[in-house]
Amino acid sequence: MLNTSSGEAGYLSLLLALAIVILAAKVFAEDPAVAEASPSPVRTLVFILVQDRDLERAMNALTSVGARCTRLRSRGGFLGQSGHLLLVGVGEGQLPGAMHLLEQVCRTRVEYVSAPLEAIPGPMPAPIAVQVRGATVFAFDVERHEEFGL
Amino acid sequence: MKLVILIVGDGEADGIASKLIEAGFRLTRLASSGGFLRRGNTTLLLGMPAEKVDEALGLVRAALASVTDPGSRRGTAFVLDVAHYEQL
Repeated sequence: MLNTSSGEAGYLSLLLALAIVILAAKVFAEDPAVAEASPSPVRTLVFILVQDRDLERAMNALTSVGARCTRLRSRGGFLGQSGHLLLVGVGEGQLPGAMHLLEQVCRTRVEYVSAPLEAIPGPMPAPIAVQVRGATVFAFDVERHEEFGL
Repeated sequence: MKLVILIVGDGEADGIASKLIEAGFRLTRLASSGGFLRRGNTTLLLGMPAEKVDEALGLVRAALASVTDPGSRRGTAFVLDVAHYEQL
């Protein structure tokens, strides 16, 4: 009797563990960040222009989803601010996921700078709201993609 | 016209660029770095007629295959369609 019930409990717990594993696998498969780790043929080449300050977060975000990126130094045309151009190859249907991640790390935001104006006397210059633009993204269709030496 | 974007290691870029130039391809070199290991590499931009793409990629493949260090034989190529091209 005792034997049977402990065997039953063992069987039940095994079933429960199996159910948890299946459920977890399903949840992870639906998570875009995890789903993107699986390699698929590159269909789109994305040019991402990011500011210096967003570079680390943008690259970490892209690396975390398994996208390989190449970085080039660049300079903005208007203010001449230093930035980076990232070249990222993404697979079919992976662009929305990558953009979603990127949106979180380099979106448009308002920052306050206190510019010391010598023309205006006073103890403290008033902070000026400055809109800091997020990343600029261009996506191109890739006709052909080749990896050499793999 | 096609635009070929080629990313190769710094050490191999010179050899590949000179082979491509010898074959009549025109290219632009950009210093770049890898995203994961952040190692220096070179990005080459090549514009060419569609029928020359195979030849260019063949040259690159051959040049990379002759590199002695197996770790440096890697490269990536993207071929994009060009809507408009002009050489001024």
